[in-house]
Amino acid sequence: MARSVGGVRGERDRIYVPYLLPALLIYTFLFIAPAAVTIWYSFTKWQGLGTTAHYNGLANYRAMLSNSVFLTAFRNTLILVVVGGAFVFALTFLTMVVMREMRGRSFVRSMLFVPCILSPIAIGTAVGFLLNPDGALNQVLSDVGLHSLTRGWLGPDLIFKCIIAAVVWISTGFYVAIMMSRVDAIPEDLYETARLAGANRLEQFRYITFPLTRDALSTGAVLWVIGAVKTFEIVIAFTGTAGNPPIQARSAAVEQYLAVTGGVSGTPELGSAAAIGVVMFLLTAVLVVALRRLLRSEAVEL
Amino acid sequence: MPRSIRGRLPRAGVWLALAATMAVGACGTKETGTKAPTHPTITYWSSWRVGEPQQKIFADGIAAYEKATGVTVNVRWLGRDYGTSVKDAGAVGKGPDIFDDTSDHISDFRSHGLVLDVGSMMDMTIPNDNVKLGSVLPTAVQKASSDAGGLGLIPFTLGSSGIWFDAATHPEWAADPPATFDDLLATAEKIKAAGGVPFAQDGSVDGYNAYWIYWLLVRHGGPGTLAALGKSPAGWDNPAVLAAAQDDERLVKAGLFEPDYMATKYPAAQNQWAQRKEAMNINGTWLNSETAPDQVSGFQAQMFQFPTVPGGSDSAEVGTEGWSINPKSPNVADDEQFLLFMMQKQYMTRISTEALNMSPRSDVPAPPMLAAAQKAILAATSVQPTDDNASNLYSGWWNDVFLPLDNQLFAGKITAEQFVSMGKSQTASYK
Amino acid sequence: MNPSTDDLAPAGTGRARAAKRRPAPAKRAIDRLDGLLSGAVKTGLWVWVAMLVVLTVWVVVTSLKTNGEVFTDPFGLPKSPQWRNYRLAWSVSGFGQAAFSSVTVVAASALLTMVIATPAAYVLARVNRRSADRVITYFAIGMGIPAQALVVPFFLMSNDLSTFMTEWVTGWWDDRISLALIYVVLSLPFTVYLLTMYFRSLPTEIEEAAAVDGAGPTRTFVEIMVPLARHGLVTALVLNIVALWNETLFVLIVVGDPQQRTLPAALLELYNTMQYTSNWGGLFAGIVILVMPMILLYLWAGRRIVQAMTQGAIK
Repeated sequence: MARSVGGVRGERDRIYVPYLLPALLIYTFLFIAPAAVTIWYSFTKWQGLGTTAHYNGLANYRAMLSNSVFLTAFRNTLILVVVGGAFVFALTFLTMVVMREMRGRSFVRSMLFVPCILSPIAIGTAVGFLLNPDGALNQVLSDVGLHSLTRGWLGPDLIFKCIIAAVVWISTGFYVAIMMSRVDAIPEDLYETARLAGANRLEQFRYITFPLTRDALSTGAVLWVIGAVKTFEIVIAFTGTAGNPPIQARSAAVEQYLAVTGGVSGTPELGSAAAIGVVMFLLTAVLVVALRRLLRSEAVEL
Repeated sequence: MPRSIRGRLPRAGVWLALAATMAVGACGTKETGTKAPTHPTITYWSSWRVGEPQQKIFADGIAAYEKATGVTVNVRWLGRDYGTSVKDAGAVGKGPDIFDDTSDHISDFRSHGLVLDVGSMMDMTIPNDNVKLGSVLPTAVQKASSDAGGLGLIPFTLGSSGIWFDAATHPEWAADPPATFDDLLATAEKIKAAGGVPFAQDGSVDGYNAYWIYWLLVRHGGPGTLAALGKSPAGWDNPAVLAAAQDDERLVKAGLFEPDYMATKYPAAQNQWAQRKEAMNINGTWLNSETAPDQVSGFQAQMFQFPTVPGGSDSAEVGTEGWSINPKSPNVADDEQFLLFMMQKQYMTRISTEALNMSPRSDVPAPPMLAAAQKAILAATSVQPTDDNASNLYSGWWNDVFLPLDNQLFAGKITAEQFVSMGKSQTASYK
Repeated sequence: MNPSTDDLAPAGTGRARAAKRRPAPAKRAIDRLDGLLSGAVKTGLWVWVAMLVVLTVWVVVTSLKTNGEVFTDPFGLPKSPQWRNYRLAWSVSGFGQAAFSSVTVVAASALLTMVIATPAAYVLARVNRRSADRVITYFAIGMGIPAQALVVPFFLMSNDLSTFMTEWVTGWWDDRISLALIYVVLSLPFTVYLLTMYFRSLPTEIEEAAAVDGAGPTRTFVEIMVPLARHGLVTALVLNIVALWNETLFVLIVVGDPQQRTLPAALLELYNTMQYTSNWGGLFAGIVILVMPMILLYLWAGRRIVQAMTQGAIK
């Protein structure tokens, strides 16, 4: 047996380079290299194609640190990642506690997944319509006698909370799917033994489900960070593009989009836009490394 | 062995992918290789979409011009996001010969090398009408269409802003609108006391909230007061700034807008105004045509000028929308002839009668709902561009400092005094 | 990477600890709480699902209303269904053309991605070299680079490509081909990573048996591994299709002519002109046109995705 395994490996080594090369070359030259070019642009002042890019050192980064608008957008992104993530995984855990033995679980599970296959633009357009001051949500609240709960949902005070809620509502199904697929792989007799020993659902979760899905959690958390840092379309769809989205609602990606296009009335600042892109990448990298330390799992390859 | 990697099963995938790519390719190639050596081709990229009144008028003009001259006008109806496409294409030498432009974007397009000085066209004659173009465009309009680099566009529409109302329910304002800001507030209070809502406001559009502070600033301090705020922190020391902010604060504190006005899903508020749920809406000259489909029957949209303040200025706002010529266009002379053709009275009249906008030609009366605005512009002793040109001159500051701060004032989060002191310090620390 | 045996140990001890820790009376109270909590969560999940169904039905119903009905009677049924909303969205607002662009661009790029990524993922998963792990990490880095970081260079490159092809090679070019190529590049890191993980989860015995039978590595890959990995491949394909179908940023930036743009861009454009057109019924018809294909795709492939995940695709 050992010899034949060695033989397979030797054979496979011969196809290693030709199988890998197309993907590796495309990725290197069309993905990594352009990303590096972006780093260079982040050190320039550049108002778009047709104008010249001037090297201006760290000015874009310094301006970012003193610009309260960008700092708010950056903080919003962090809040979205941390608070939104807390909600997403809290809901996911709660679901994991009960879903194993729930009636109609496969139906519920596949339904929860649906929002994350839908265009955020479509969801934002439809839900935003419901949240208008005289929109459906406030009407329903008034009709059932909860007039005191009606709010200006899309106003500066609440809009970001609404956006977080929407992101949580959209994303949770994805993480439920990931985690539940691992839960499914846990042998049923473990739970049976636990039940016989008198463990309730929370204990079963604490001592069986959680430890056995740690690796999936680690992957899920990393995917969440990567996705949440990029949050963009849902904000645009909620706020529309007639005005600039209110500062309270902007994420770093929205701020970058405004820098690329110049906003509603303005000049593009591609240098700043590139710098924001670099900062977003650094934020992702730091959070991913921190998460991996925190969750310490060998299963994730990041 | 490696040579056969692409064989077998992935082959189906390759062919499917190839076939799909070809399918895309095959139908996206119409405009290639269309070189017409006998007659020049003019490319025109428009901000209008198929079906809009302006699009219909221009399409008619284009068809007539093509028939009369044999020139082909290759037009793209791009919609409102056309600007980026123009700049991007212009940058790689594939820009249009002619494109739509607005007075507050001339400098922006010019910085991309896309704006030809068309001042010499003022001496050219409009075909059929046989008048010089310069003689039918008022000086204020020409000035509004210019920047430091000269005349930047040939205008097809005049823009302004003011307070819109329904003349059917408030005929008294048509003849005798509130004259001062205090009158306006008193009028609004009366409507509120009677159980109505005086003002509709799409508070989620920051630029629309800024209409109030912008008008109050130019009323209190004259044109240039708002622009000075972006220029240097010293601009904020002008007493007119605090006075304007205090008036803005009074308006907000009086609670004269619809509930939760900061949270509307644009264009919900202006459509409600068109449904007579609120009495007034501060907006641009385009509001009537925008809300036309939503207006209840019998609705008569009209606009009055922003009221004055004691001892203040009564300047008028003039903005223009028009055509710019790309200096890299291979046949500038044809471009100019085409634009002169489009400036004929027959088309400019339709801007007024069909698109219900103000035509730039002084010999074309404005539609009734904009008569007050046209009168104010023609009579004005001083004029200012839209937003006092601050959004154009200091666009980064406008978006990152002024609009956010104004939103706080307009939402009642900060006082007029805080607005001024925060504005001054934030302007000082901006870049 | 190996589930089963190793992982069972901590769970086993945990279970033992759980069983002997708490005395009976307190435990009963907690058990009751436990039952209450799980009842609440189950109810919550059904409410969650109900919200989704209601929202979907509401969007579909609204898409069949007149403008007046959208505002005056947001929850009622339309007096007579306005199918013209769809007709108008399809022809006048350009959703027909946009649907064609979406289908061709997404199909071409999703398939091409698979063709490039599958062999790479296979060798990365199976070849025992140090460099393989490094290459996997190298690809994974790409998943963390926000696509926004590539906007500027991609825009420049697509312009150059268009000019080059028009002037030197084909005499014509279509921005949608550039878009499809960009989509391939953007999908590559995720697809390679996902498939590598999937191939690793597959048993090696079959390949070894094939090798013993004298099959070369290419034949093993094509005739054994690809069919064996079909659940993972379908999952990757479907996830890419979903992501690309909804992609908006690069369409707006790379494709200059609005008539060649894809569905999300068409919806955004329609939404942006709502204040000029007030065609609310049409807007909702547009939402349905954009969303329905993904729902149908999910109805077809949803089970497979869940299945493939179960088999360890994402681990």
